[in-house]
Amino acid sequence: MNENEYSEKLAKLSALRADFVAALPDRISALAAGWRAVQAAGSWENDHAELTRLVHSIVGSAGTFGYHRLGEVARELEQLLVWLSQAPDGLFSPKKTRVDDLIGIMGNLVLSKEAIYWGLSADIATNGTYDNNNHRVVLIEDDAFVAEDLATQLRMFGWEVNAFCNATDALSAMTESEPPAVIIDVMLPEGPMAGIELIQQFQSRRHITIPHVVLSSRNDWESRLAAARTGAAAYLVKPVDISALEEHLDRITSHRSPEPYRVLVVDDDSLLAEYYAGILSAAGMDVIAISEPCKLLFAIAEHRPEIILMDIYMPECSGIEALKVIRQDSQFDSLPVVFLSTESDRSQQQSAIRTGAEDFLQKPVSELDLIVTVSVRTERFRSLNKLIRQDSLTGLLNHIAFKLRLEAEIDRSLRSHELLSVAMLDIDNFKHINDTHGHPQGDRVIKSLAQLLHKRLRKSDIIGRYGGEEFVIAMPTTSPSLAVTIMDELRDMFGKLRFETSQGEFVCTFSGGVSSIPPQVSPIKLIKQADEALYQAKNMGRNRIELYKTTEPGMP
Amino acid sequence: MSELLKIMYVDDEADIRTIVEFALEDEDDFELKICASGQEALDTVGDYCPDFILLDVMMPGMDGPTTLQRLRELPDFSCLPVVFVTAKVQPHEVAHFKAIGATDVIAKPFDPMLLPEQVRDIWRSIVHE
Repeated sequence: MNENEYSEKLAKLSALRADFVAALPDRISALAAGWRAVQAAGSWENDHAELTRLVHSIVGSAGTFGYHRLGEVARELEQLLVWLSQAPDGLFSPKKTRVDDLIGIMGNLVLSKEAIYWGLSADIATNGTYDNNNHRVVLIEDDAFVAEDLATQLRMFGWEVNAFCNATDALSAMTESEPPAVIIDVMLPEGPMAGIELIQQFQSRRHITIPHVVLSSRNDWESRLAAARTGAAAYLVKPVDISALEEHLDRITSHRSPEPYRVLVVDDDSLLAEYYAGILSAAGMDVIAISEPCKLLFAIAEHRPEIILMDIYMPECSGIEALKVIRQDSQFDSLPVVFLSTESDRSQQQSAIRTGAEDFLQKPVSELDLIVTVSVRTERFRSLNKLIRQDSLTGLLNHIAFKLRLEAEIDRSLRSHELLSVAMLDIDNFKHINDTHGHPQGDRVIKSLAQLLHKRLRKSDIIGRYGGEEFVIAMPTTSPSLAVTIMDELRDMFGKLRFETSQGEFVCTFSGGVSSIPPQVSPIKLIKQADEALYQAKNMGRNRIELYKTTEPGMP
Repeated sequence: MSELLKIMYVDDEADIRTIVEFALEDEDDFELKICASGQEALDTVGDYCPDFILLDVMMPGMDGPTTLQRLRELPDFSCLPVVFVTAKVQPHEVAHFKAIGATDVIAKPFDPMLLPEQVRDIWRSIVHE
């Protein structure tokens, strides 16, 4: 297939997908209606075949169109319907409520259009239920135009927005189901401070603090103070900076617990090694213990510890020697190693520290000492590492960190015979944005794109800021055509974001290039090819995504 | 692969038929015949004489395995390669399908852009055996 044919084919696939998506809401409604009919009749007789056919058809097609999660849910529903129809008294089984749940989930997936992103995530797909509750937000704004605008833009970042235009309706809805976060205008039809009063009333009645962001066209001390008194997370003056609002929402709704510290314990006495591991595991850490230093490098590669706890005297080799071996590999230069020993000789301790040991714990070590030392050292390692690996503006991986992760991800994909796609994105005419609106606005654009990528892609996708206005994304288990589709939807969303400035608003677009393994297996070439495809997209008029094609005919 | 590969695809799902048709129709080395049921496949297989059949497993009325069984009873098609297309791809299920006479199994969902190559791979392995 030549280049044109391939592009045409992709365009046709998008059109087919669009048809499929357009028909989905009707299919889900028909499904819900069919299920209601079965329940009303109290028998399967008339409606069973139709219901099964509807579900089976979604099971078969959803995944092929990229809606994996929808396909998975439909499959669970299909199996459940088979079970219910075969079990005696199946229609009276408590399991039947699950049918409503599943139809509801399918409806939400279709509505949210998130299926294509979330659905691909294996961890979510196997988990069965995806809880989107943390992304729910209530918006109370009396200006219908502003409300619609904010809701549309927030939805692009993955928020499920429930909008109300007055305090009364909002209060009754919030009383029914408490939202994780609220965005509220100070002035509402009920009065000039009705927004603040609503929050006060809700909080005092329930004795809780509800996370909220206040919007206002008033920039005076009185209303700012009132907002501060209700505990508002932010006070944003209209016109609202969408990326600032998004950042605040993200902050007030995230309750993610930090990842457990990864610890490697090395002690020739395996009982003792297990003992330390037990204490640290009980403190919530992720620990493995080994008793032979020769297995050290393998254990480091497999477990990727953030700290090593090692006995200094071991028969095979001393801890100090083992540390020297670890430090031979420059990527472990900063990996903290804490020695454990009965040694109380100060000079011996100093020699251990000189070799690059982080700390020295004297046996017998108290449980508390062990936990505190390991926690403090690991936390510091983490924050240093973050500084080294993260891009300071966007919080995404920087150039070097991305390349390292990509290498590891390519190895993993080759081992498991899976596809991997890389996308390179570049904001169009960025210099013009900086020149016209100033660098702070340029930075906002970069941050917004970073947030959009972070929100809309899967946890398993690796996102990096490659340079200036250039971003790079590695998508494991993703075919080239799907990668193009996903990037194209992101491109579409990004183009709809509006950036407010004192002189008015502006919009931006980006172009993108995609390449994949197989056939390409080297990270450098993979990035280079994505970059060439990006260049192609720029040449073809910007604001588009191109797939890398080799010059050989017949090779996509 | 210079000669034309005649493929018959059997599936009751209109969506999947559309996407398979889309995936395979533009390939110069393929010729495609699509059927909406096992019965239709059995009725047309004699006239069409495909090189191999892609067969959906779950179909109302006559399912994939039954269609395969009936096909094997026809004198000219006892050895015709048949590949199942199915969502169930547990290893023991693949083994079961092969035991009842399937040549290979393609997992649903498949990537339409990669399907032609998948089909060629299977055909190559059939030819080489």
